[in-house]
Amino acid sequence: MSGFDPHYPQAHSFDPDTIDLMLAVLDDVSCTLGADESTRSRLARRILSAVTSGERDPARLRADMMRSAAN
Amino acid sequence: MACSTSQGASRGLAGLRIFVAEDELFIAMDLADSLRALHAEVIGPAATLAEARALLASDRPDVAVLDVKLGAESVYPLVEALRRQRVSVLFASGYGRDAVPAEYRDLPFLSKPFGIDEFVRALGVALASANRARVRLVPIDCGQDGDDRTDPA
Repeated sequence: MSGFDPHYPQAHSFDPDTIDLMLAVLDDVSCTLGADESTRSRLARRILSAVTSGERDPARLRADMMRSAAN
Repeated sequence: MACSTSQGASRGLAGLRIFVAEDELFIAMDLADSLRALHAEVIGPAATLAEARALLASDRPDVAVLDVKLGAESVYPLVEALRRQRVSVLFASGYGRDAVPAEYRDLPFLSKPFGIDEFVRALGVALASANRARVRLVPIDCGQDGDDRTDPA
């Protein structure tokens, strides 16, 4: 259950474009950071959370992920 | 006592063991998180056929939710084994039911993308159609613990 947030919103119906967006940001940030599997998994969860909250701008998503990785 | 949730009364999956085979990371993560939030026990998600086989070798779920393609591999080799173990199967795919081989078209199918309500309904259909336990999906905030989800046939 590590990283599981019981208050996490219920499953969303992501369309293919949104999934592509999330994957692109994840790959981009993971590559930039040289992220290992564990870091990549954490980034993925943060991206999912941000997108679930409504964020769809790739630049803001990327910046958020870079900030979160730096902290 | 009347029970209600803001999400409706058909959300509780407490006690249900759900195997998830899904190769799309974000869909798998989102679905698994949501099922856990509904108190289901999630086995997986498995992203490959090998991972799925390894998990199912040591764990027996009540129901298996299977993407029909895991990477380049078809998931159908798993289905026969699951049927032999009397595990209910629910296909979830963006390919459409027509892509499912004829011998498996009697199994419940959910088209992607789907929402959690739709998913929970399909789960109930999968369990009922396999003539296993009839699932009574209980409200999540009633404090009903324990395995009271089955009705003897």
